[in-house]
Amino acid sequence: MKQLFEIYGWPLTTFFSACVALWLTILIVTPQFFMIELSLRFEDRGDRLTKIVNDLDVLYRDKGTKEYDLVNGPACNTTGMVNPMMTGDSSCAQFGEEDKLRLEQQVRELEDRIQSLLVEEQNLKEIKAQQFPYSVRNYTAMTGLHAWTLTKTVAFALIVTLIALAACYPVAYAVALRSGPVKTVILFTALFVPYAVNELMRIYAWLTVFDLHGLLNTLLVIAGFASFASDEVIIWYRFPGTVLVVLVYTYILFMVFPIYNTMATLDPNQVEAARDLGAKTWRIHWRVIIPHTKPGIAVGCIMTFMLAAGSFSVPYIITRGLQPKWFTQLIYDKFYESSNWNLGSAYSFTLLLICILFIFGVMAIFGVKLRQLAR
Amino acid sequence: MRGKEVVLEKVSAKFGDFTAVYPTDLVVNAGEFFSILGPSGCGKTTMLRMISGFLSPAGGSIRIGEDLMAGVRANQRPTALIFQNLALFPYMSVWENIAFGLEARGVSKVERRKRAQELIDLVALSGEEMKKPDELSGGQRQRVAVARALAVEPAVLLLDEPLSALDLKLRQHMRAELRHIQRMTGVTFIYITHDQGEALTMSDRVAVMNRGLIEQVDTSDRIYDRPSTPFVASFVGENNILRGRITAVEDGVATLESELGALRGRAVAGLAVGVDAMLFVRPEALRIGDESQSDNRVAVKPVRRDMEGAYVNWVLSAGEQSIVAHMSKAADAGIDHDRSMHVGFAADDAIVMAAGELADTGRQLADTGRQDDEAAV
Ligand SMILES: Nc1ncnc2c1ncn2[C@@H]1O[C@H](COP(=O)(O)OP(=O)(O)O)[C@@H](O)[C@H]1O
Ligand SMILES: [Mg+2]
Repeated sequence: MKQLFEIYGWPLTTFFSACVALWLTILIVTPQFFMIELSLRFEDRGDRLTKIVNDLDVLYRDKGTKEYDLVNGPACNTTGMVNPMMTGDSSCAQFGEEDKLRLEQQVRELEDRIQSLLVEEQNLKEIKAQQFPYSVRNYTAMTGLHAWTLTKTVAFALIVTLIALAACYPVAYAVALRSGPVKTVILFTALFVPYAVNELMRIYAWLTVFDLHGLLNTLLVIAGFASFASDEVIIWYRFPGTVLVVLVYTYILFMVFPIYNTMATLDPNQVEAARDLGAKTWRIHWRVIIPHTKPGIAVGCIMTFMLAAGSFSVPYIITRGLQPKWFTQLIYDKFYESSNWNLGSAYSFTLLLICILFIFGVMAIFGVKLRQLAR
Repeated sequence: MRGKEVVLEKVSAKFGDFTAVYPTDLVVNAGEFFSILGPSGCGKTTMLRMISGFLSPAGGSIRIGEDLMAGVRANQRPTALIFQNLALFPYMSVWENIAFGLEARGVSKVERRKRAQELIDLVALSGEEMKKPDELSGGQRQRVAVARALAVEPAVLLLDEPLSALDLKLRQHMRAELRHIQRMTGVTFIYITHDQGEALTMSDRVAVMNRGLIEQVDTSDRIYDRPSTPFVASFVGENNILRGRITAVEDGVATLESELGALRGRAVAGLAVGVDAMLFVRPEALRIGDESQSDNRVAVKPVRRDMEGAYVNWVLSAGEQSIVAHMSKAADAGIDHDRSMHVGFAADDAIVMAAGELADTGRQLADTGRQDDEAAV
């Protein structure tokens, strides 16, 4: 801080510090706090209060309908179709006197019930307001099915991470240690160009591969294993493998780069020294290259895992609804389909927690410290 | 004796169109401490990498002991290389570093530990076994590198300027230590350096290399006293260089007609009358005061007298030519400063050879022609 003051002077430093603080507050701290708060408030969808609120909705609606009928007479339309909402007389005639009395009687009954429910609601609300509002029930409320989805999502993310690692280590090795400068540039361009395209576009592009009339099936047809005419084609979207493949493809760069970056700092003489001392290739990797590359591998694994576990667009686009949902899709549903932000927040924090556990797990396995990761 | 001889026949190296090492014949005897001395960029490392198997020669053959090395990979050669930057494994402890070669050979851990301990004792590193390389001093790291290379019991140890990262005092200490280790183990050492002091003090024999070419292979004494090319004469030690044209060669003594008159010195083989030539004479071979009996006598004017401690450094001029002479204190006391001065030297102390490329050591003494010479190159 003092250094910053010296370099930029106090006005600029203060200004930038304020901007950073503002940014942190508005974009990170506040929303996170809001979400945590939400996730700790349990909204019991089956309790008396919810029922009363729902019942009140229905009663108000019924009451409104009857009052409308009282003013406008019985509904009738020119097609002669009976309005299904209407109960009682379906003819187009005017109400008789006793009909009116009956309706007025019904409205009064409805008003009474509304009144009593309102009182009860008020009481319940007061009781609730006095209760301690927070609980961890949102976190423990996960059903077996959702827990299974979560497990599967985490397992898939792990597999994606392992595949990406297996694919990226050799690539990074080839680029960092085995090729001249020209080759490095070419390889990097080849790696980069696809990433200049928007992520969604890249994912949609895979549909042309997996589609019923897509590349894979076309190849099968050409090879004679399938036929478009008799619909004997494979519905690729049904296989979880498709999501794996696309996830690996989508996030592979986040694995390649950290590994490449650390590997490129390895002194090639060390590799030669190991070879000179008689070590075979696998031992050179195991004893010299991997120990040096560990922080890069750890960062790559962490990033890939978090991105894969948190990916929404890939499973959403690729599965086409033909596979069980991913956990991210469940979270989305909680927020936007069932409007249960409390449970949605709890779900997303559960996922976040697992990711954090994964980070510490990886750091323990690789024996790297946070400071090394930050490099 | 564990060392083996190393024989190079017409070995050359190329990087694309650039020839880093011209076809070279070289015999390094078994158990010898052999140095390759040359300015940086002359191809020393390249030479070593070919012997160790990291680089395939563009031509020629390498033999170690009885075995031709063509097609034998680095990890199967009886050589061990000590890298210019040591290339210790930073994530392994000292003893693991030293035992790595044994580990690669499948030696059991107990046995590895035992053999590593012997080497740790040999290089005087007891007590440091568990440290990581970055916890060691420069000299200690140096010793780990030596021990690590010796652990695989190589017949030939290749050292690529291993002392260049150390400070002067440590360097001098490590020289003695390396020499000692070489004697103890009897391993053939091929030692690369751009430091002539290192090469001359440690080696049984020295090869002087320039631009991919070995110009002379000889003992340290002969390299110093009997350089065979202008490059060697100017690269190793200090020399006064006097230029002229050969007028006679008789009984191995050449007469050179120079700006300073006729000068006589030993002729290198093959010197012909009429060629442009250089006469090299060491500052300590010059005499002032009692020069009258000398084969050569040149009138000079004193420019400067520097007291260097063990000797006195005289800077003199003879016309355009400047000449440096080192006088012992006793001889210096006898110099009559008022008299018009002369320097003299015995023909046997001077060497005459055909003009050629000189080393760019940055410490050329007395060579007025050097600028023109470089312009011509
Ligand atoms: N891998 C390489 N590619 C191209 N040129 C090289 C390579 N290695 C060395 N050279 C060149 O070969 C020459 C000799 O290099 P080197 O053997 O390392 O010299 P030294 O060890 O004597 O300083 C230098 O001019 C250097 O630029
Ligand atoms: Mg070198």
